[in-house]
Amino acid sequence: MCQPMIFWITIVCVLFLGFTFRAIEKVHKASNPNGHIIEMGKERDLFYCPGDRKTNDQDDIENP
Amino acid sequence: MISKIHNTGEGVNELTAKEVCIFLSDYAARLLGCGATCIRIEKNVRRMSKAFSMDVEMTIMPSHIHLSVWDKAHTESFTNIKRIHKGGISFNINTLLSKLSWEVADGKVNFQDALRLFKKITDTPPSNQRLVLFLASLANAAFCRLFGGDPIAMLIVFIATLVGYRVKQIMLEDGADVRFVFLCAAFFSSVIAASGHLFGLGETPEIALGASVLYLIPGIPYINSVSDMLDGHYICSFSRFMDAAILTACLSIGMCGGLLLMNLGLF
Repeated sequence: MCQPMIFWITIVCVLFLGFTFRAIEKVHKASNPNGHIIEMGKERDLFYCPGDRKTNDQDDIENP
Repeated sequence: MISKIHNTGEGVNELTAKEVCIFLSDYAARLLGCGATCIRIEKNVRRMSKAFSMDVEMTIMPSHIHLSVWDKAHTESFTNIKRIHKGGISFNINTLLSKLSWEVADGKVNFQDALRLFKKITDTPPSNQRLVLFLASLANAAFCRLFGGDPIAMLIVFIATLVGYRVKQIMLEDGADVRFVFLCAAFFSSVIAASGHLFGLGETPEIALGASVLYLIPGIPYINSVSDMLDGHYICSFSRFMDAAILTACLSIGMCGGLLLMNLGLF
């Protein structure tokens, strides 16, 4: 397979994945408006139990 | 100080230069934003100001409208500078706004109704994106046929336009720079249209390649530029021409990038 064909297939695949990902994200946003499919989580989210106060307790290191 | 217009049966409406000026400058800014030529904007605004018994002087700049309204006795005036409303080119809004100006001129609509109708027109939702996408792709495939493309070339152009136009819609939705959008859309369309050459599809792959980016040509700004030049609005004409030329350059760069990547020696 020649190089331009590899480029062509790669570009078409990237486009296809881009469109698919966007469609999935759209459907996901419609059902969960505030959420993202991929996002940076916080430690607090991992240890959260229902009933916990939603305060910022990440300052484990005291500021000088 | 106060001009009397339109006895509508509910009493005589009294208009000030300020009210008329704010409405007309809004109207002109909206008309300029939806792709109307300067001559149309001037004619429509003068037509309505005459109906409101006011004199109007206006300057149309590439991104602003500078409008002064005087009452008939020339005792009161109001001047307003309004920034263009960049809502994208829309023949629908252009037509509705022109129709409104004729209705005002014919006395069918009074000032308050004109305000209400103007608000209704400006709130008109944009055309269905999916429908526009489909029709633009179909139109570009028809262009390919006009230039002598065979059915396979038409299909390639249809798909290339479908993908490129969708990329354009998504990137514009996300607020990307319009020049970068044109570059990317041209790149993807030309790469997909190169499939005819790469895989030996059809008899006219070069026509498919050439027609694949035609949907990006900024035809309306070019035509408006000539119209403005003929009417003596040289600043607007030059501005529109430069806008269109930059977009054309961007789409050329995108297309060249695609062709080079596909190793097509068309130069």
